[in-house]
Amino acid sequence: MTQSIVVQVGQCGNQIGCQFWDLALREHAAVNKNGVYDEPISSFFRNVDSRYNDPVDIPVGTGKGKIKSLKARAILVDMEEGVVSEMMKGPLREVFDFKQLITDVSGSGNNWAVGHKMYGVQYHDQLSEVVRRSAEFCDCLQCFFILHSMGGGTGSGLGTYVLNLLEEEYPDVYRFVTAVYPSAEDDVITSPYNSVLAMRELTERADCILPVENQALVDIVNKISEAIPSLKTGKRTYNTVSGDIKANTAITGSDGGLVKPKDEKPFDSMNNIVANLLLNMTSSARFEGSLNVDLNEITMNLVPFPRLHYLVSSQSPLYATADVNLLPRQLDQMFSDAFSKDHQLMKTDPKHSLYLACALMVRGDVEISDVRRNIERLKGSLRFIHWNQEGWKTGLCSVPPVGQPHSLLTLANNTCVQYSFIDLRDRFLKLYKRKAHIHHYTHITGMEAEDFSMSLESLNSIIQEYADLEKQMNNPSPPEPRLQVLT
Amino acid sequence: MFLIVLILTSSCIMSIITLQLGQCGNQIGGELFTTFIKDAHAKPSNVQVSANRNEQYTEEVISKFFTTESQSDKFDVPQARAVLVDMEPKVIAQICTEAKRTGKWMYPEKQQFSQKRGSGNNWAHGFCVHGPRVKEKVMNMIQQEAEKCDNLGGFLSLTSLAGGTGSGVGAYVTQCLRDEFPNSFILNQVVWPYHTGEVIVQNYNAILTLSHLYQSADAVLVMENDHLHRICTQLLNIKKIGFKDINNVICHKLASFLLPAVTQKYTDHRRSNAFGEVLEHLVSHPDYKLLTIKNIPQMSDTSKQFCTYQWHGLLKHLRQMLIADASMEEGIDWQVHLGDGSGIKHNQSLANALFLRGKDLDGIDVSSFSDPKLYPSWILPNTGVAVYKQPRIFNDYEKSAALVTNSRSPIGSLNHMIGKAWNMFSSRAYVYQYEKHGLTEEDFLDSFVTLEQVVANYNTL
Amino acid sequence: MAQVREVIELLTKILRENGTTKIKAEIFRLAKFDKDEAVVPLWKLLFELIYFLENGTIDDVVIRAFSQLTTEEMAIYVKQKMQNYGFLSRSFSLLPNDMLTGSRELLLALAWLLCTKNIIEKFMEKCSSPIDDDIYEFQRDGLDQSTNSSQLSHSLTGKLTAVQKVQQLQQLNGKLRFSLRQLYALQSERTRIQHRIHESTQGVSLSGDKKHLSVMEVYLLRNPEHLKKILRLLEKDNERLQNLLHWKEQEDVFWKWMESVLDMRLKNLSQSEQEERDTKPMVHYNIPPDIIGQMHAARKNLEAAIMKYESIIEHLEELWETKRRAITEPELNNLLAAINEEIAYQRATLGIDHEDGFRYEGRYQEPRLVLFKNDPSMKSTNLRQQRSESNTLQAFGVLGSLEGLDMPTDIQTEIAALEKYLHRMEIEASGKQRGYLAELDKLAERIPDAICIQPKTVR
Repeated sequence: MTQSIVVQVGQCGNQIGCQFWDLALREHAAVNKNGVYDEPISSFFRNVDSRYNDPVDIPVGTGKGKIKSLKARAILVDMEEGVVSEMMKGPLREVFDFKQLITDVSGSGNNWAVGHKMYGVQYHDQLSEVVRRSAEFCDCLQCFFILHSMGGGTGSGLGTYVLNLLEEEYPDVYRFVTAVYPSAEDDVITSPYNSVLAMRELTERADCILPVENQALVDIVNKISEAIPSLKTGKRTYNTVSGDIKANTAITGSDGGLVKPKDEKPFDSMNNIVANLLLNMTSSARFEGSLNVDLNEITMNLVPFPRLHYLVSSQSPLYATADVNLLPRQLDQMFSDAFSKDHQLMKTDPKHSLYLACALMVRGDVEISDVRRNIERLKGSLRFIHWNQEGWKTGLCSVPPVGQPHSLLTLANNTCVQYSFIDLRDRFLKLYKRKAHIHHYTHITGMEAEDFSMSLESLNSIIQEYADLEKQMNNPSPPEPRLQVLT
Repeated sequence: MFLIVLILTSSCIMSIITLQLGQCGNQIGGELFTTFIKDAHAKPSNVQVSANRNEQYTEEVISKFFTTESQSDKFDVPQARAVLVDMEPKVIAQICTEAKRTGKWMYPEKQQFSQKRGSGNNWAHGFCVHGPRVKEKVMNMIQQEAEKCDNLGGFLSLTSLAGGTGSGVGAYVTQCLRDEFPNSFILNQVVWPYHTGEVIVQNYNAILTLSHLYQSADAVLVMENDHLHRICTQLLNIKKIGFKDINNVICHKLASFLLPAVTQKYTDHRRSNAFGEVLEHLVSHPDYKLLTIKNIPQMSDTSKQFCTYQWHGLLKHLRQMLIADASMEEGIDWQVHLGDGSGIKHNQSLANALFLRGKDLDGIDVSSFSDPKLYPSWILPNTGVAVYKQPRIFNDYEKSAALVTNSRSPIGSLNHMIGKAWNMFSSRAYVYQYEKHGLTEEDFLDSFVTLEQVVANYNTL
Repeated sequence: MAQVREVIELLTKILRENGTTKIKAEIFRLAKFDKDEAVVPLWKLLFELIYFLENGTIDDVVIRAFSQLTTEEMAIYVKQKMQNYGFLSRSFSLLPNDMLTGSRELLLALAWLLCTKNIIEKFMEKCSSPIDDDIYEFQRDGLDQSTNSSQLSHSLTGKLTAVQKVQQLQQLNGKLRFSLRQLYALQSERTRIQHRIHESTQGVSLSGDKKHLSVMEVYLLRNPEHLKKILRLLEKDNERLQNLLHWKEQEDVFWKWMESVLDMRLKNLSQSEQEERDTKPMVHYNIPPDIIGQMHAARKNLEAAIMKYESIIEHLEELWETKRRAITEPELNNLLAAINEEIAYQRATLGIDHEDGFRYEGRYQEPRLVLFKNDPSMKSTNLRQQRSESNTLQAFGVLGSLEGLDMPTDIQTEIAALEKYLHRMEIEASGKQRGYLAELDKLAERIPDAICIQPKTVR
C-alpha cells in the first residue's frame, strides 16, 4: 500500500485540511471497528507509541496490530498563527505533532510575491526538512496532496512554492493540488493577481489540479440547507456507530468526528465538501473493490496532454434519503445529478462543453452493470472529443462513505474550465491594465514585472488550448488513414 | 514399496502452471482454482460416473492444477500451481484469504509477488519499468513452481488487456517465459475490456499487449467483457452484474477447456487433452494465434434441473454459433450458411477443438464440424476439428459442449480496437505518458503494424 | 551326415529366431548339389541377412521389400552389397539375375557372410535380458501406429496456389515444431521419473551392477500380471541362447560340410562355364566400359588446371608483394577480415556437411540416467555410464556425432564443436536474412505509396 502526504498551506488550506483529517478519522473508525492499524489507515496515518518523545513508527506488519496513537501524514504551513494554533488547541491536536508545523506571525498580506518569493526563500530549508521527515516515514510515498486557496498570499504564493520544491526533490511522487478559486465578489482586491500568478506554477508543475470555486461551494451549501432545514437545528449525535445516520449524511456535515458541533466554523460546511472530495478520490486506492483505481491512474486516464490537467469534479448524492425503497431510482439519480450543473465544484457547465475524458469513482454497493447502464443512459447528453468517444474511467470501491449506501465522484477533463479561466483573466486584466497594486509585488526581491506578463501568457495559452479542442466538438479533424497491409 | 506406488500415481499427468497477473488476472485465477476444486470434489452421484472413475478424475484434476506433496504435515490442502504477480498488494491479499477460507485449497506461500505501487493503467510503466525490475524474482518463483512438476504441460497466464500491470508486466513476463522455457507451451488468456468505461487508455494498452504477446505466446485466448456481460444478463438472468459474475463465466469457459477429457485418437490413454496437443491442433500456424471459446448450454443454476438436451440439438446450435459467430446460444443468426457465396459471409475457422462433457457420449455425430467449407482450402483434409470427451457431468450440466476455435471471431473487435487506438494516436493524445517510461512512437507504430497484419491474415483466411 | 543335418537344422532355427523367413535344412542339402529349388529361398535369406547387417534388425520392411522389388533389382542389390563387403567371387557375380539357377554359389556366399560378418555373434549380442529399463514392449500395444502418410501426400499434391502452398507448409512446419516440443516434454518427464524411481529404490537391487531397481522391475512389481509375459520372454530368450550355445559347440561340423560343398563346386566347374565367364560383363559393377579413358582425360585436365592456376597464383603473389608496401597495417587487416568473412560465408552457403562430418544418422538410443556415486566397485560400469550421459545429452537436444564412437568423448570438445557449428549456422542465417531483406525492399519499391516496415528485431 502506498502513502500520501497532505500539505496544507495558508488559512484556507489548513481549514480544509482540518476537516479532512476529522472526516478521515471518522471514516476509518467506521470501517475499521477493531481499532487495528491496517493498510488502508496507513495511507494517511502513522501509528506511533506516543509515550516516547520522538516515537518510532509501528509498521503495519500483518495488519493486525492495535492502533496506539495515530499521527496524520500532514504538513501544516501558515504564515500567520491563527488557524494552526487553534487547531493545535482543538480535538485534532493529538494527530499532529509540532514537528509538522511551519508558522510565522506576520502573514503574507494577500500578496503572492510575499508568499512565494519572500517566505519561500526564507523557509526553504525548513520546508525541505519537514517534507523529508514526513517522506521518510513512508515506505512507498506515492502522492502529495497540496491544499491551498488561490486568492490569498500565503496559500497561493507559498503553496505554489512548496509545489516547486516537491517537484524538484521528489520528481517521481505525484503532486495533486486542490486549489480554491476566489469568487468574483472576493473581498481581497488582489486575488486575481494572486490566482493568475499561482496558476502559471500549477500549469507547469503539478500533475493534476482539482480546482474548486468558492461560489460553487456556497451554492451547494445553500442547496443542502434548503433540502434539510433541520441540519442547523436538528438533533446531533456524536457517536458514529450508533447514531441516526440518515439525518446526518450531508457531505457538508462532520457529525461523529472529533470536532464538536459547537466548535463549527462558518466555512466548515464548505470545507467539508472539499474534504470529502479528497476522501472519495483516494477511497479506491485505500480500500478494496472490484475495480480499483490507484491515484496514478487518475492522471494516466484523465490527462491526455501534459498541461491540460485541470479536472472539474462533482459529487453526489449531496445527502442520503432515509427511504430504503427509493434506492434503485436513487442510484440512477445519483449519476444524473453528478453531471448536472449545480453539482459541479466549479461554476461551469460541462454538459455544454467538450469532454476530453471522464472518471466515475463509485463507492458502496454499486456493480459494474449499474455503472454501464448509466453510462449508456447519460452518454447521449454528453459530448466527448472524437478520438475519445469512450473516454470513461471507472472505479469501484466496495466501502461506502460513512452514513451513505453509495456515492459517486466524477472527475472530468472538460473544456468548460476555460470559461472560469476567462472570467479570471478578465478580472486580472481589469487591474493589470491600470497597473494597480503592481508595485506591492515588484518591490519584493526576486519578483519581476515579467512574472505578470508571463503568467498572463501562460493563462492565455491554457485557455487557447482548451478552446482549440472545444472547436473540434462540431467539426472534428479527420484522423490519419490507418496503416494498410499489402497482401 | 508404498513409496514407489505413490510416485507413479502422482506423476504421468501433465501439470499446468497458472500465472495471475494484475487485478483482473488474480481475481480470475482465484475463481478458476475454486472452480477446479469444486469440480474435482463433486460427488460421484452428482456427476454420474463410477466411484472408481471419479476418484481417478479427481486425482487427475488435482495433480494437473495443484500440488499435494508438502514438506511438513502442516498442509494437507492442495496448493494451486500458481504464481501471483501484482504491483499492488490489495487484490493478492484478498484472494489468498478467500482461498484459505474455503479450506479446500490454498495458494503456495512465497509464490506471490506484489509491490506497493501499481502501474497506473500505464502499459509502459508495467512493461518498461516494473517488468525488468521484478523479472528476477518472478522468474525464480516460476522456476520453483516448474520444478515441482514431473511433467510441465505448459503455462496459462491470466491478464486483462486494459490495465497496466496485467498487460504490461504480463507481456514482459511472457517474453521472459519464452526465453527461459523455449520448449514449453504458453497460453495467454486475455480479458478484452468493455468497449467503454473501464480504462480510457485501454485501446493503447490492448494493442501494445496483443502485439507483444503475438511474438512470444503460443496462443492468445480472447474473452470479451461485452460478450460475457451479455451472457450474464440474457442467459444467466443476473440482474446486478459484478465482476465476480463475469469471472464465473470466464472460469466456466476455461474449465470446460482445461479439465480432463479424452481424445479419440488413443483409447486407453491417461494423458488426456494434453495442453501441447490441443495447442498443436489449434495454433500450429504462426500467423494465427487467436482463440475464442463458445459454450453451450449456459443457464442459471435454477434452470439447470428443468432442462434436458440432446447432443444433436446442442451441436447444431454450437455449429451455428460458430459459423454465424455468435457469442452465445441466444439470438443466433440462422440465416448464415456455409459458403454458398451469397448472403452473409460465415465465420471462417482455421481449426476447432470440441469438448463434450456429460452423458451418452457414444455415437455422437460431429461430422458437421469437419465440413471442408469451414476451413481454408490449404489445411489437410479432415484435420479441422479435434474432439475430446469426458463422461463426467460438468458444472451440473447433464450435457455440455465447448468449442475452442481459431477463427475470425475476434477480428471484428480487434479491428475496432485498432481503429480507436489509431484515432487517438493520430492526435498523439496520452502518448507523452508512455514516453515518460521509455516507450517511443515507433513502438506504437510497430504494434499497429503487427496487428494490422494479424487482421489482414485472418481476413484472407 | 546325420550329424550335419542336425547342425544345419540348428542353424535354420537360429536364423528363424532372429527374424528371417523360415528356411528348411533340406534347402542347404539341395544347394550343395546346385539344385534350382534352393535358389529363391537362399536369395531371400541373403537379402534378409544383409538387411540385418545394415539395420541391426529384421522387421516387416524387409519382408515387404522382398515382395515389392523385382527379382532383378533384388539380385543386383545383393550382389552389390556382397561386393562392398569384399566377397569378390566372380562366379557369384555372374549368377543369373532371374533367380533360376546357381544355388550352390548362393550357399557359399551365405557361408562367407555368416563367417566373415560374425552374424551369429551379432545375434547373440541382441539377446539381452528383458528386465532392462525398457518397458515399452508393454505400453506400445494401445497406440495406433498407422499414420496416414498416403493421405498427406495426396493433399500436398492437391491443387493449391503458391500462396496457399506456403500457408500449408507453414502450418505443417508449425505442427512439427509443436510435436518436437511435446516430445521434448515427454523425454524430460521420462528422465525425471526414471531418476526418481532409481532414487527411491536405492539399496534395493536384483542384479549386482546396480544399486537400485530398474523401471521395468518396478513396473513388474506394480503389475505382477505381466510377470508371466516376462517369464515367457525369458524362456524364449533362454532357448535362443541355448541354441546359440549349441551352434558354437557344433559349428565345426557345419564348416567341414561347407568345405565339402566347396570341393564339389571346384570339381564341377566345367569348361563351358569357364568360357562363358570371360565373355559376360559383370553388370552389377555399374562401371561404364570406357571409364579408364575418361579417367585419364580427367587427370590430364586436372594437371593442366593445376599448372594454369599455379602460374596465376605466382603472378598474384608477386603483385601482392609489390602492393603490400603501399597498404597500411589497418587497411590490410580490414581487407583480410573481409576476405575471411567472405570465405566463411561462401563455405557456409556451400553447405557444412562436407567438412566435419556432423552426422545425424547415428542410431538413436534411449537415454539412461544411472545414479552414480564414487564407488570403486562400479568401475566396470563407468564406460557405460559415460555413454549414457552422452545419450542423455543427446536426448536433450544436443545432437552430436558421439554415436558410433566406442570411447567416451569429452563433453567440452563436443560443446566446442557444436558452438562452431552454431556459429556457422548464424553466419549462414544472417547472410540469408540480408539477402531476403534486400529482396523485400526491392519488392516494396515497386509498389507505390508503400514502405517496408521490418520487424523490430531485425532493425
